[in-house]
Amino acid sequence: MSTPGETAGETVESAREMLPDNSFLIQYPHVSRVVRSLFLTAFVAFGIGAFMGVLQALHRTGIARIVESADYYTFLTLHGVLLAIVFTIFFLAGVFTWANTRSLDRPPVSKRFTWFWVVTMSAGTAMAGIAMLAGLLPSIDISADVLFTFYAPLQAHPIFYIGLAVFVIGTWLAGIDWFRQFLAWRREHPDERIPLQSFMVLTTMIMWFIATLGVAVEVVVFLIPWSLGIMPAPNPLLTRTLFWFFGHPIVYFWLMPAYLLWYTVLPKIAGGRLFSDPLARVVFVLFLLLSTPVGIHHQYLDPGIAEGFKFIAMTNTMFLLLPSLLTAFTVVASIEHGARQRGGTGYFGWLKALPWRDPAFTGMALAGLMFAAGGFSGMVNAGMNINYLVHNTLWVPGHFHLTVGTAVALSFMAGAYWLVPRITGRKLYSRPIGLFQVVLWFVGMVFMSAAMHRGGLAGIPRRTAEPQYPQVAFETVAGSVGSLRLQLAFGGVLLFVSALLFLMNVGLTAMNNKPARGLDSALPPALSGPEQSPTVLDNLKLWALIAVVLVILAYSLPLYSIVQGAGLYPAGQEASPAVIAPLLEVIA
Amino acid sequence: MHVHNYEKLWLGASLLLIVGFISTIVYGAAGAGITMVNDEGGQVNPKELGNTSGFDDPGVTKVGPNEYEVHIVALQFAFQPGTVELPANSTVTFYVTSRDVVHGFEVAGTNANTMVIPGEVSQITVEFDEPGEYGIVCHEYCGAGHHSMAAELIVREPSNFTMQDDTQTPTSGNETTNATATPTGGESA
Amino acid sequence: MSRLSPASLLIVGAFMVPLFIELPVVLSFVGVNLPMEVSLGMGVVAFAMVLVWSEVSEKPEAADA
Ligand code: HEM
Ligand SMILES: [Cu+2]
Ligand SMILES: [Cu+2]
Repeated sequence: MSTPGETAGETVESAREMLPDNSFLIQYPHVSRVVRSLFLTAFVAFGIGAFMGVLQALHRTGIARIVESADYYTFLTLHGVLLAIVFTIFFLAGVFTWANTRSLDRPPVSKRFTWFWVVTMSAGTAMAGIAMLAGLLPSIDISADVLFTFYAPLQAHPIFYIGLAVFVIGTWLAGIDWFRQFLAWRREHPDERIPLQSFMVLTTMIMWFIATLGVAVEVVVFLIPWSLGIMPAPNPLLTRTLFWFFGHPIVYFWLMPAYLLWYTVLPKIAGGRLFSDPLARVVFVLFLLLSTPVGIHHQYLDPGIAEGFKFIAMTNTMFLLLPSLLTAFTVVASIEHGARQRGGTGYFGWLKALPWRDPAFTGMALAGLMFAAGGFSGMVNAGMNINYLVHNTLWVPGHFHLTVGTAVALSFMAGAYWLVPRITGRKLYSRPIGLFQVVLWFVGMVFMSAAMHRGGLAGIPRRTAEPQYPQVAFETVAGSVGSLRLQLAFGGVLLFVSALLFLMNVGLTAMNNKPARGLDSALPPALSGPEQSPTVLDNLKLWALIAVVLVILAYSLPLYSIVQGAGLYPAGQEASPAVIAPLLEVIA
Repeated sequence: MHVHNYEKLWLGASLLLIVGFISTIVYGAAGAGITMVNDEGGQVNPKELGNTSGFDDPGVTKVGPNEYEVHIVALQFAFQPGTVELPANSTVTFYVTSRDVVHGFEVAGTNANTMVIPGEVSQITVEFDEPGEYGIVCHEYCGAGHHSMAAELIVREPSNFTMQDDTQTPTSGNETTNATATPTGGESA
Repeated sequence: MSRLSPASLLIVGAFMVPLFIELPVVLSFVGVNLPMEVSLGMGVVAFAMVLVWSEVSEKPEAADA
């Protein structure tokens, strides 16, 4: 978000005075700046990641191979890390900073501390980014072609792991900042219910603190010392298990800011009110409790883990469907209420009364719809035995481009159309382009993800530069493999165009001289308010404790038996590629 | 706590759905006898596979009237052996392990699928009813040549199937990379 | 005057895409083999019909003729 020119600045400055007193930008100019800088990083990562995405879509289908197939995996690592970690989490940090401040109605405790975590997160990102990009330059002996699921014995340069650790510490500091802000509010309001948005931020962060312990141990205890050459190669199964301890809950870390927008912003845009505040709280508590003790469902096919442990993870996973199903109900009910307020009638007729021209609404509605489809393919993944048909096939990216790639990413884009004017004071550059862009994402994703799901059922593997083998003929259900490839690539191109339109629209908004208007920051109260819900829901300590106990129950035995099996540092394990020497050269 | 009637209905239906899913899976696991990859394969030293029984000479072994064992070593970037031949209507147990990094083992388009982790042995039992040719792919990224890692599985009519001697296989040990199994010699099954 | 605004056409069109992409798969379950290309072609035709309807339906007689 670049700074406007002198004259442009004046128009917007004077127009700012026309903003209502309770608009976010007027009340919290400094917090608005923090959110702007977080969004900037998120959108830069999004742009680069989307470019990698279209390269992959064209490459693996054989339509256009612009890079060497060996470099494909560098691009794929960048795509995964930039989109699934940097874009999502920086955007989350922006939304949470906004939401916590808005709902507690007070700024974070210390400006310095806030900037400190922003800088920490950015520095970690830069370090990991350098390590990944250097993989493209053979002259530099640094690489991190380990994909965003970095487990041993594939090895990245220590800078990559250290960067990730610094980044995660940055997110912890952010969480601490939001908690301090809440505690300061609590001192002034000892008897009030936690405001809903803040409640969502806090429960999500507790979940994150617990979840990141897994990856912190993996990276700090095992991977960093190993990549520095101080310690031997760790047990690969152990690093996988620690990764997935974190790797599943991160899914909900992506999703929670989207849910926050669906629960609190979407009803307002639709012209209505949230159906039920208590149910929203129940949903977030359920996510806090159930997000982590399920990670082993990513390891249904791992040897060395007993079937019983997989079974426990499967049961927990199925119960994790519950909060999402409840969300579907509440969100649809709230939207319907909005439509009826706007004069909609009939069983389905109310759908016509919704503000479909508003890209913020349509984007989130389409995102929610795709999430339903993603939920179905997710149930297949979760089904311990059906999973055998699809594990690590193209089905899996087909699934998560519906969930994180659309339910989350498209909600973020739609949310940006609503939020960016509120933190810049500038009018959205173009609503029609915005509308076209979100619909294009939907259409592109239907093409890409349908082709991926079908390719996966035929057994086409994911993460593969050239999934065309002399020994293997893939058999598809409907349509030929050739037509699936075309569909996948076509969808990928549409998605990339949509991403460019989004970045352009937001960029031009940030430079727009037309002031935004009517940016009242209040959100309408829920139809059933918080007073309807038992106060125990607000007892965060209790929920945190139960969550920890559930994690211990789900993980202590599997971890114990993995270490019993092959040990912490089993004999005969070797890094690939070994990158121990280069660090010393880099320092020297 | 006030809960709207529709909410209660939805909640009940959701719980029913979830319990339904869990029961189908329990039935699938216990009733229909779909076995999962678990910890039964045990552990090996990935650098000592040449001295590990089974993996020192990967390939097909007959262990019963209609039962076969197949030992497979995955390495950057091939499976050993590169061709597996089996008779139809047989029960086959695969033992797969890796010599270097994490790989995948998937008979494309079927549910014969497992991760292959260095130090661990994946054990899966599969029944092949129909003759046909299947592709085996590595579905886990394992390094820059990952996309060239595949093998083939040929299921023959039992009458057409011949295999090497089931007690002793005289051919090459695990020093051959990119090995293609020799489908000749031995008695017929 | 057209009956559907450009925005409505966009949204109606978008919802047709998943329908026609999934149609061959659904049909394959009942044993009908519909090539993907044909299904997508049918989608284009269906959308063109919506477009025409949107333009002429103001006069119902004209649409009948
Ligand atoms: C321009 C839009 C996009 C395109 C064309 C695209 C395309 C692709 C393709 C073709 C793959 C599969 C590569 C393979 O397995 O060989 C992939 C993987 C992936 N995509 Fe996307 N994608 C896009 C947007 C997104 C978004 C918005 C996200 C998440 C926020 C995302 C997250 C991922 C992740 C996590 C992977 C897996 C990486 C891995 O296997 O390590 N993508 N993408
Ligand atoms: Cu998961
Ligand atoms: Cu591989």
